[in-house]
Amino acid sequence: MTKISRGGVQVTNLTWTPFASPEPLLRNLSFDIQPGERVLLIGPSGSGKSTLLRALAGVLADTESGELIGRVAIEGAGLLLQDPNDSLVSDSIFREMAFGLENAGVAQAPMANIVTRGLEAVGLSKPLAHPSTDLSGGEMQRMAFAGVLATNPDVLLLDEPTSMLDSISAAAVRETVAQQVEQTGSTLIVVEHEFTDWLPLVERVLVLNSRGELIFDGEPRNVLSEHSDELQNLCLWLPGLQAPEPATINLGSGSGGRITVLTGASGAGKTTELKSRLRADQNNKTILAGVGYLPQQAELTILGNTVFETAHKTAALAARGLGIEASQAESNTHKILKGLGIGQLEERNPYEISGGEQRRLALATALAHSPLSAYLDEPTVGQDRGSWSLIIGAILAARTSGTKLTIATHDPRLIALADEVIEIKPLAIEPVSEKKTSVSGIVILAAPMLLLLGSLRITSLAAGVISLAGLVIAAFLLTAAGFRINTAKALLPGLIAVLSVGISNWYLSEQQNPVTGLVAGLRVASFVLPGITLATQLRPIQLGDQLAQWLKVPPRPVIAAVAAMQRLQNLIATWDELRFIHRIRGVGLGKGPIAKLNEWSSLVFGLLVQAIRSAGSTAVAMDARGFSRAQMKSRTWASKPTWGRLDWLVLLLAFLLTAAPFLAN
Amino acid sequence: MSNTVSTKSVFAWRGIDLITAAVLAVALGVAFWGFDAFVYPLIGIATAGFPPLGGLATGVWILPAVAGMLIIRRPGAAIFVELIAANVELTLGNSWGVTVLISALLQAAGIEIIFALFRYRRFGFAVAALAGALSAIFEIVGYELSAYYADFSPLWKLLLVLCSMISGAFVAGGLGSLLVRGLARTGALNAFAVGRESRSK
Repeated sequence: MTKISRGGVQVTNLTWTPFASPEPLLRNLSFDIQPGERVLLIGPSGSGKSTLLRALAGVLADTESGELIGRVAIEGAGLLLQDPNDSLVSDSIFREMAFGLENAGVAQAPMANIVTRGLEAVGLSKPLAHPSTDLSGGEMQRMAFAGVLATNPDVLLLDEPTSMLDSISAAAVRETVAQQVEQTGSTLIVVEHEFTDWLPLVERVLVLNSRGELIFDGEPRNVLSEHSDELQNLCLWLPGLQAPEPATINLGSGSGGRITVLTGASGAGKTTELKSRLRADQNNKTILAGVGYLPQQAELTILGNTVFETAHKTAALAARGLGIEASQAESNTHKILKGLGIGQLEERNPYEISGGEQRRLALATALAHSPLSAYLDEPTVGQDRGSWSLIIGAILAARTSGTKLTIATHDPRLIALADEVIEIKPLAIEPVSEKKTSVSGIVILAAPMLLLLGSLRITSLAAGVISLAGLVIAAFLLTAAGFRINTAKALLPGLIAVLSVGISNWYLSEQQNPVTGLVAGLRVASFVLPGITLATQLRPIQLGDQLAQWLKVPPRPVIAAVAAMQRLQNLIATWDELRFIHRIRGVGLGKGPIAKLNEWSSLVFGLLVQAIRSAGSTAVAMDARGFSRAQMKSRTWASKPTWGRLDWLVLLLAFLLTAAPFLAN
Repeated sequence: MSNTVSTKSVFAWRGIDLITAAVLAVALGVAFWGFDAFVYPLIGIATAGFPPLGGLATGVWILPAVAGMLIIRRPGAAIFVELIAANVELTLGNSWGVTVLISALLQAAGIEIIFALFRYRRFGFAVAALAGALSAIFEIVGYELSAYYADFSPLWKLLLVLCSMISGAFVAGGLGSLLVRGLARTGALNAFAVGRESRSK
């Protein structure tokens, strides 16, 4: 094996065939990149650009298993992904940015300094303890970039770093990258659909075609001028080209059609505004399926086993409701799928088609039932010129047919077609009041376990009453010590459980003695109620610190569990979004328990697909920062576990309460 | 150099194994919380006063451990997934407080034992159902009978165990297998053996 110098990249005859794919995604690629070179990697959707970056970063197997032939030689790569949400592992900017340092075994003492310098380098002026999710899209992407930089990479691999951002945030991210490359002399390889603004920064361009072959490699000016025809055929967003002609699609004609665009900075609340308008509209509509909706995550709209079924579900319901002939409604759906260039996929499994195709399918789904109004969230993001023209064609056809369209977008070419443009101003974000840790995770887990032990001795009414009295006193003491008990609602299921245990132990026991039931209820209450009260205070990251650093639980499972728990709110949001989509589409409205169970299973399935896919991206982002490479024995931690006065108090009370029933007997 | 990206030892978890298992657990936690919100009240009210019937719901809580094992196929997968799912339950609020962690450990132990007996090589319906049933026995006999239902008469205790076993086998084992196969067909599990198998059929 030849030795590669730091910052250099050497790819020799690289071919990658995922198991799921009949053909290679990357074919026989060979190229060398010198240390300090700045390279742009372009190609149409599905040409394998992101895959190549992942291969360079050594994290290919994280999303797909397959056969890798050839050789990649690279030293010290750092990878930045498109969606910074995927890279979140923790709850504060500090812990987020320190993740790569922890894996590399950097000592705790200098970490705060390194992170502060990193924040300055990317122009992010936030306190270290600031919640990592409470940032705009651009800020979050710069934080993620700083997290990559913290590991001191010699080769920066950027995978569509600005495609989800508005033009101002995108410029800020590019500026940060330019400065960084300038100062450190690191090698840069960037993938971006809309690459014009990156051209001043790069000195070389690699072009992949849709078969995953490297077709051009050279200085950007030369490549773009000498091969402009071929590049245009690849549907690339070449600089200086006009917006493509919208495809001609015919959905009939009607009056009242209109395009209203909601625009504004990333994170200003375009999506929120779009959805609140959609809700208001939905509530006003009296007819079934009067609205259509394209969410940002197109995959969430999938229902049923085939592409056609997904697109037609709502149209079929609407047709039945309005007494339209089924064949007529079906021909409309066929027409729109064909217009969007996915007519040949009608019988395919909708989960198996490409991301770009899923996006067009979701658009077809939103329009197939000829809704009075349609709400589209970033319909054109990340599309090449070919699919852009199809999507715009469908949008214009819907307007001609009389549909009122409201579109959240930061695509200037789409904004230019609007009848009305509304600029969304960011709301002042309320400062998040950081919840102070009151009780440690370990104590939250240990105290109820102790109480469970004590509960086994609650066998007489006297012991039960004493334990109940003890609980009440403990609750008062804790409140006085500053523990906030705001769990009246959280306690309800627990109270029901206690009641259920009490009653059933009364009439299912041999003597059917009510006292037996009462004692059983008190016994369960003695550990269940405090357990629930304490559990509301659980903070995963802090529990993780204690488990890994004090109890020496292996670090990798702990880190993975904490990262997953950080996604709880995200997953709840996805769950709500799925329910919302189903309601808009008129499915899952059945009232009976079977209908509800059906609807629930279909929601669970949608949620899991989405969750597992995002886990793949998260694994890539974590492994790119050394999560799997790390020598876990020398891994360090950015923060020490915390332990406070309340912890002692809760433990003490738990011991006393556990002892009480023993004394009572 | 030719290099097939594959897994080496069943004990060496890849990053993707850990993170997928953890996220799966959290997602299922959310789903069950949603189950409580719109299906469970019916069942809950029906069985609140009659736990033996409630035993039929036991499998629901075991399902994450089975699904995790069927996807990850490594020792510890059931324990890892079930413990995290229990933590999610805790955070979102549940009926039993922190002691769900004990349940989680017992249930997962039942799953681990069965798959270990088959040396982590058999992942079909029958093995999953067997694992689900043993898991339910562990949960009921090892914990619930003494903690919650100590005063039931022997007959009722037996009935509770039987109901739970049926649920463990069919709901956790059966539905869990179906769920994982369905997920594999979407391509979301392509990084795992179960995803490859579903493609090569």
